[in-house]
Amino acid sequence: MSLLEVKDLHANVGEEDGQEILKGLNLQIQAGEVHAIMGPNGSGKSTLANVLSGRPGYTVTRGSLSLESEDLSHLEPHERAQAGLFLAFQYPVEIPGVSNMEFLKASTDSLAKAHNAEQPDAASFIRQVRTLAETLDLDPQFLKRGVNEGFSGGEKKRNEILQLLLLDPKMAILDETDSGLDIDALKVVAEGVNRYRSANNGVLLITHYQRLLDYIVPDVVHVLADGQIIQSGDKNLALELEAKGYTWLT
Amino acid sequence: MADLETHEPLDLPGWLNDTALAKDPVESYQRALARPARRELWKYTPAHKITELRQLPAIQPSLSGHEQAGVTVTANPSNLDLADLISIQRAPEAFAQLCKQPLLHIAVTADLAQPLSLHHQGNSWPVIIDVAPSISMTLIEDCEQEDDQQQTLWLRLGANSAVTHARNSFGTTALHWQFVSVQVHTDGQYRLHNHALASTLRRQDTQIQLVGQGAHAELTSAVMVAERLNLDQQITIEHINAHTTSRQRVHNIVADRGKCTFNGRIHIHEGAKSSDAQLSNKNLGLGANATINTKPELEIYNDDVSCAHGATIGQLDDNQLFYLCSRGVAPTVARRLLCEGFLQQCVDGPLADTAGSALVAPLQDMEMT
Repeated sequence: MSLLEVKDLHANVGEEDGQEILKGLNLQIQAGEVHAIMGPNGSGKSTLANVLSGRPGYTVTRGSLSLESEDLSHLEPHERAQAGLFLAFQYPVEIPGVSNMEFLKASTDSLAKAHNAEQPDAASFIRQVRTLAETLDLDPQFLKRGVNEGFSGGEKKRNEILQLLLLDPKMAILDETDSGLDIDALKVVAEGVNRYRSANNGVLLITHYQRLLDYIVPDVVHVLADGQIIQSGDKNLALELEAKGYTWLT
Repeated sequence: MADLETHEPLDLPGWLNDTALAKDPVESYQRALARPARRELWKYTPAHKITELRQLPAIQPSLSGHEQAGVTVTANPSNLDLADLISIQRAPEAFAQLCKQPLLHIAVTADLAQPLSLHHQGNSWPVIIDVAPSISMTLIEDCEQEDDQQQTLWLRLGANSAVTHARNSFGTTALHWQFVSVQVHTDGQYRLHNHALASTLRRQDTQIQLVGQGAHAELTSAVMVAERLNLDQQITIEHINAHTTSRQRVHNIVADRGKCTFNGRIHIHEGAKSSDAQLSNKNLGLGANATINTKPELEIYNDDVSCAHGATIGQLDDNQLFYLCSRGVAPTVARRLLCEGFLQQCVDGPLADTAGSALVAPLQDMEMT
């Protein structure tokens, strides 16, 4: 059984009659694997991330997507998260007035409730979050501020990784998490992702650049073009793309 | 608008004889009632609903913190110089209330370590607070009674004084009028933290005059209007002297079939050179039948000013909602969190702790779909 299985996925922006972006995409990720998806602008990378996470504004017209054999296509975004899917946003959203800590507690409590698990007590939860923040070089003061409010680009991305480590999903999709990061922040983010990796979960890295893959070594690299995966290979494929660009494949 | 023309005759109080206010007060009052601008102030709330509150018997508000050194409380003082403080033209309804009821005067002449608290137990006597120059104090007002009531308050801030004024108004069934008029002298600083739920009708009039050079006013306000309830907020800040500054942040949430009115007027007088005024009013409508009237106004009579004002009416942000849901938070919980966050941005000051939970309480009973 695959952890994540996407079969012949067709998806449009907007309604049924919207523009088709994904045109028969197939993808299988096993537990313990890291897959990278690379591709030129407009190839459908972010659409794939959005469709998998159930973002409103997209319509699946054909095909299937499942997590541990559970059909995701009819689940609301929060239900997909409760099923174990996590999306690290390319542009994390600012929510003034809702403190980061409050947000993290609401998320943790929601997931615990969905799994009939005990919600963590406030004191140990705060300790856990503070420790995670320190390991990601995030000032604990950020936890008191509004969600991502006034954060720099790097701080927002590190905050996404903090959530990844805290919520510990089965399947993490990282949508261009490396964009806008300096080399030091990139290393911190990569260390976080590597710490998250285990034999029980999977990672889908969506990226433009090979640089991230120096720090998070993928098991499989895919090339997405015009809504389909047109080539798959090992980490050397990413190096080849870095050297040659995409045109030799399309 | 017919009710704007009807008014009862004034019985002038004893203290009026000693002040410049005594010059033709009845005539001034009648002229003020007839001003065209008054129609705008009462466009969304019938004036008679408020003026009729004058007929209710009034009681002295309960005080605490008044036994500190430097606080002098006088009920019904025989002579007060109020000519520069009370304006019949600006607020004829408040003036009529002042004439009708006994009066409580509080003089503050020393820094107060503890807040001075006014607890309104219903329809209150008018209150005048004089803060001496270079004095710092905190003023707290609350009113939790569910009877129809009104409060009128005048504050005069001496030069270099600093007053933080926090006000919580959480009754939801009463007809309630709250009037506050503040005069800030040279380099004085006034901060108002207003937290309110709507009620059958809650009307909040706030008039601030920055009369001294360098005077500063700040107003933050968070308002929750639950279903079928009503709140009307009228704020005027006048920049009268040079180098005066003001900041206003007002966030209102209006539930389905609730009604909220905000009128924020900034008036920059000719002499208010190098003044700086900013006003932001944001409204969140929950449901197709929420009614929101908002009007930020600028009236500027000199060129050397910096002013910014804006108002928005919107719904919950889809991107924020998706972000929360993508972390496993159910949409109903996420919407509630976003509403709480929206209000929380304007919850501040010494009553913030109690205000935060009271303001969001109506959200618990609402269907957040």
